[in-house]
Amino acid sequence: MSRVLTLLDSGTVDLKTIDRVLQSVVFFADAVAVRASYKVAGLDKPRARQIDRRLTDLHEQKLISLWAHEYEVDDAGRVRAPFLPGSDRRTADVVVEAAGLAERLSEMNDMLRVSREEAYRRHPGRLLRQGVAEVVSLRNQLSSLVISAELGQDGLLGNPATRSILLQPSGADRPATFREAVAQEVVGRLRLGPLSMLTPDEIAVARRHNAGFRRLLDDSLLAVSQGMDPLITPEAAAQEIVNRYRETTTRMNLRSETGALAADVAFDVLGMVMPPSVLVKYALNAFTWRRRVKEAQPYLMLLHLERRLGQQALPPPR
Amino acid sequence: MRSRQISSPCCLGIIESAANLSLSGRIYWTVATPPGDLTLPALARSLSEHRRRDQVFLLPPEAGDWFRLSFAIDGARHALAFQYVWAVSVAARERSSPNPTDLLLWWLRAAMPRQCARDLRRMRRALSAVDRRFSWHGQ
Repeated sequence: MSRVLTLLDSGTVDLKTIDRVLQSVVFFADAVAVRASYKVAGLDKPRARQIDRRLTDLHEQKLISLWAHEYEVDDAGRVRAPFLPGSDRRTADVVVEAAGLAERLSEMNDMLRVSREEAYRRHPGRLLRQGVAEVVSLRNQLSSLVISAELGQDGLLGNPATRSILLQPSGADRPATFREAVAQEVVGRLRLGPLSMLTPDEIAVARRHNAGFRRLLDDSLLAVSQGMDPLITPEAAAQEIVNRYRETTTRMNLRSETGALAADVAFDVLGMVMPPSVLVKYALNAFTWRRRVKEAQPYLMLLHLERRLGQQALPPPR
Repeated sequence: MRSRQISSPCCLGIIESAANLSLSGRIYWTVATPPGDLTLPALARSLSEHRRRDQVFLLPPEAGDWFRLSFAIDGARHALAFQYVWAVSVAARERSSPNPTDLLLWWLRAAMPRQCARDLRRMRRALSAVDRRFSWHGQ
């Protein structure tokens, strides 16, 4: 099933945004829609240009698409000057029409009217945890959904560059969706570091092998169908995936005594990039090879990422 | 006879939408029998209270049968019921305002895969029947 997401509040982007977009397109999404009039936040010019270039590359790889409001672009879909200073004018792939959007936002405001009144009302004896902030948060999420629906996309992606204190009462950088939260936790628990270190080719390899990981995410969602309580959370789901990944790679003798990944066997054979004749080198017969491929299939993408990114965290050999 | 089964991708969408709602709204919930015999408006108030206090909201097991639909993935029935209670808790409580079904379908339509349009129509009919059955307005 194809899955195209809309980046929440994508008027502003930074390095963390690139990382979040890459996490999504590597782990669970086909593409992410970013606002064409985005500006790079709070960095010096060379680094801002670097981020801009990275987004342009991702656009060329069709991993991101650019969208704009009708008023932001000219007839050819190019972002107008006041919204985008500079000569490199971007062209929007999708333009959201003002009339349709206004109608949907108006519908949304109607729905939220009483909820808003409720938040302002005093409730004797009740502890209000956030009150108005809850309404603002809900409105922000719903208005982003409106834009996402207008763009014909399948969901949302949180943008760490623009998370405000009202959206994040705890001050934490919380993801907007369950899949996003699990992916972020898996990256953290495997200490993969920023995915922006991946080259375009490495991103393409990871995406070729992410079908198995998507099934793991679906399984995690089925586990929360009876409720999401403090015991069943994205953190718990991510820990379960990481535990199973480590058990599988350990059982298959893909790790050395220090726990480091034995890179040659781990991905080249299981990732089927080598012809079976080479298996002799690893003393594996065809039956064993097929069984191991089946076992490792959901984790091939993690093997690839750990091989590419995990090793960078290891000290150099003496 | 017209099929009333909600397809597998749509069921997964319902479950995902419930998980996203839990995450973004910080609502902890689980399927278990709550104390007392709770009506739907009382359940909606209970959800708001538990959310404010960071406590786990208990959705009664029988809530899975409210909609008289069959689901390709059985867990979707409680995920849908949880979101319906949420919709009742945030929707207007006046006759002129949008009802929980409108709000919930609007939320689901925006959050679910595009291929679920037919299933959403089935759900609208089922949810509207629940709205009428519980007749929650003014309570």
